[in-house]
Amino acid sequence: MATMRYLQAVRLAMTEEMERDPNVFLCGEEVGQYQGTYRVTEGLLQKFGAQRVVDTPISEIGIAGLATGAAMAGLRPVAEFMTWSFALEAMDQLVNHAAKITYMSGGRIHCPVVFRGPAGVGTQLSAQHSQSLESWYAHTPGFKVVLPYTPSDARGLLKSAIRDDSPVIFMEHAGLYGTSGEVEDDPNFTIPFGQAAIRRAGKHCTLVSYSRGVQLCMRAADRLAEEGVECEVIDLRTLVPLDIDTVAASVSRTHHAVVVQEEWKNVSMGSEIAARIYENAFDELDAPVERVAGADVPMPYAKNLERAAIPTDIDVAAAVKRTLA
Amino acid sequence: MAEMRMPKMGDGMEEGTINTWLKNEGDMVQAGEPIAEIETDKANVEISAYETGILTKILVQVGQTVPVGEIIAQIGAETASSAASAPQKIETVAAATPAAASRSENNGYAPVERERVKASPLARRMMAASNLDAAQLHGTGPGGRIVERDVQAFLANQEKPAPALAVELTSPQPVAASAETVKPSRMREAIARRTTQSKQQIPHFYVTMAVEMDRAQALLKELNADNPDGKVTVNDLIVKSCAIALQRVPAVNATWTSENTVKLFAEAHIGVAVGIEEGLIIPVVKNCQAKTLRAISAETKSLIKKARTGQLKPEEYSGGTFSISNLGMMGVDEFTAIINPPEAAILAIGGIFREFVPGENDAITVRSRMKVTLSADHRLLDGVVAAQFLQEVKKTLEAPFSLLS
Repeated sequence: MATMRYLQAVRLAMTEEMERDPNVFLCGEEVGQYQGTYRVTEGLLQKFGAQRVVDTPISEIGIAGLATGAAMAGLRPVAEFMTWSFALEAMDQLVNHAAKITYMSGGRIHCPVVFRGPAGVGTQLSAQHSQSLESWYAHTPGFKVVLPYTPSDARGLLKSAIRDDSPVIFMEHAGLYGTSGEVEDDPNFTIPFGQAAIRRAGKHCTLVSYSRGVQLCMRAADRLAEEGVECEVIDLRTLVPLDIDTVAASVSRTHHAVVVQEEWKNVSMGSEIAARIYENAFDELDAPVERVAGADVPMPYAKNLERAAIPTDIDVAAAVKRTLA
Repeated sequence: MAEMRMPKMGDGMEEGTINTWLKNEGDMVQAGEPIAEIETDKANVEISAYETGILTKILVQVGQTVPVGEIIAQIGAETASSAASAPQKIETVAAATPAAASRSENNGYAPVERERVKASPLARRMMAASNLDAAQLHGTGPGGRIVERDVQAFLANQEKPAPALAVELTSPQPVAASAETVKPSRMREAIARRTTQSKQQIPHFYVTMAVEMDRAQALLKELNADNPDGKVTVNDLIVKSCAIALQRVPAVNATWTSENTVKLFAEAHIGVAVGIEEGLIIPVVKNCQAKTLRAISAETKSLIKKARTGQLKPEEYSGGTFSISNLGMMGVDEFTAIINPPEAAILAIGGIFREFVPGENDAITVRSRMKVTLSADHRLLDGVVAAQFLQEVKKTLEAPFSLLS
C-alpha cells in the first residue's frame, strides 16, 4: 500500500490505463503543456507524448464532440473539463450524442468515453464555477455517474471507467484533491461500479452520501458518537448504477436514514435516494428520511453567505437528531 | 383549526378520563363554553373550548384515559360550509349510487372515515407481528407518532411477569382463594402512585406526643353554645394550632426540591385529609396563618362538603405546604400517616380519651388526652425540630385561648 493524494491517485489510474491500453488517450484544455490546472495530468505529456495527451482549443463542445467521435471509432478517450461547470457548454454533445449513440445505433456502436474533471462547491468560486450538477447526468439514461471520495476509490473507479464500454461521467471533488489515503499496489486493482462502501458501521442511523458529502457524514458521526449515537456511513461511490441494496440493508438495521449531498436539494440525487429508500425499505423506517443539501440558491461569492449555503457536519448531526426524535 | 388538549388541572395530575362529551361532533361551540366533563384522580371537572368554532372531531371517547397534553378534540374554523356541506355530501353519495355503496361495504372499503393512526412503518410492522392494536399504544415520536421504542416499551411491559408470581412463592396456598379482579378507580390509582412514591423517596420518621384536651373541649363548648350552625370542631383547633406552630418552627413549612435545595414557604397552606367513598382527597385551607379560627372553620367545612360531592376545583386541593390526617372520630388511639409530597410533614391525629394520669403529688387525676404523631421528612427535619413543632402544637392546644387571636 502506498499513501498518496487524491489527485495523484487520479493521475495514477490514467497512467496505468495508458500503459496497459494504447487506445487510451487524454484530451482537454491545458492538460499537456500546462500540466493541468490542478496538476492532475502533470508529467503525462512528457511520458506519453502529444499524440496521447492532446491540448485542445477552449471549446467544451469541441472537446466533448472529439472524444465522443473518437470513442465511437474505437479509441478510449479520457476527456477533461477544467471544471464540470464548463461542461454546460458541451451539453448537446454529452446528452444528445455520447449518452444516446449506443441506443440509437441499436447497440452496434459503443461509446467508451470518460468525461472527467473537478466538481463540487466551495472556495469562493461563485455562482458560475461553484456548483454540483451530478443529478443532471444521473437523470439522463445512458451515462454511468461516478463520484469517488477516497484516493483508492478515485484510482480504482477511474480505471473501471476507462475500461467500461459506456460513457462515464467521472466527477472528482476539487476539495478532495489534497486529501491523502492508502492506494493498493496491484496495477490491475479496480473497483466495480454499483457497489457502495460502508465507511463506518453503526446501529442507530444510516447516513447516505457520496464524494465530499461522505466527509461531512464521517465528521457528524464522530460528533454523534460522543453522545452515544452510532451512525452507519454509506459511500455510494457511483450514482448510476446505484447500490440501493446496501442502503436498504443498512436501513433495515438502523431504521433511520439521512441523505447528505452538496448539490441543491430540489429534484436532486437526494430526492432519488430518499425515494428509493421508501420503495425498498418502507416497512423498516421508524421516521421519515431526512435530507441535508445545499441551499437552493446560486452559490454566493461572499464568504459568510457561501458558508451558509453549503451543508456542514453540524447540519448532518442535527438531521440525525431530528430523525431519531 | 384549534386542538383541545387534556388540561393539567392540578399538581399531581398526569392523566384524565373523559366522563361525558357535552357537545357532539359538528356542534357549534363558543370560546369558554363547557364542552366536556373530565375525571381526574381528584375530581370531576368541566373543560371549556379555547375558541369559537365547530367541534369537528372528538378524538378521545367517553371512558378513555389519556395523558395530560394529549389532543382530545379539534375545533375547526367557523364556516357555514364546513358545518352544512359535509353531511350533505354523504347523503348525495348514498342516494345517487346505492349499489356502489353496498358493494364497497361488502369488500371492506366502506367510505367510513377511520381513525388515522400515526405510526412509523416499522412500528406498524412490529405491531402487526405481535397482533397489537395501535389504540393500545402511546406514541412518543414527533406529533405523537408511534415509533419503534413505543412498541418495544409496550411489549416489554407485557412480558413483565405478573406480581402474582411473588405471592405464590411466599405464600404457597394449595387452594387459591376466590378473587375478583377489579380495575381500581382513577383516584385509587393516584393514591397508589403517590403513596408509593412518597414512601420510596422520602425518608420518613415519626414523633408522637400526647396533648391534654380538657381546656380545648371546654372552649369548644363555649364557642359552640351560641352558634350551633357554625360549630367549631377539634379539627379546626388543630388546623389553627398547626398554622401557629408552622410560623414558629418554619423549617417544617418547607419542601425538599428535586434540585436538592430547600424551599421555605411563607404561608401556611394546610391540607385536611378527607375520606370519601372513592378514597381520599386533601383539600387545602390557604393562608391559615392569616385567618381566624372561625374563618378556618367555615372554609374547612365548605371544602369538606365539596370533597364529598366531587365538586372540588383543582386549585382547592393543590398547593398545600402541610397536611393533617385525623382519625380521632374513628376511635383510633394513634397512627402514622404518609407524607403528602412535596410537603415536609403530616400530622396524624388520634382520638381523645379519658385517661388516668398522675397529678400533683401523684394523685390520680382524669384527663382528656389526644395523641398526635408527626411524620417528617428527614432530609429537611431532625427529631429535635419535629419535637419542637409538636411542643408548639401542644402549647396552643393546652392553652386554647391563644387560638382565638
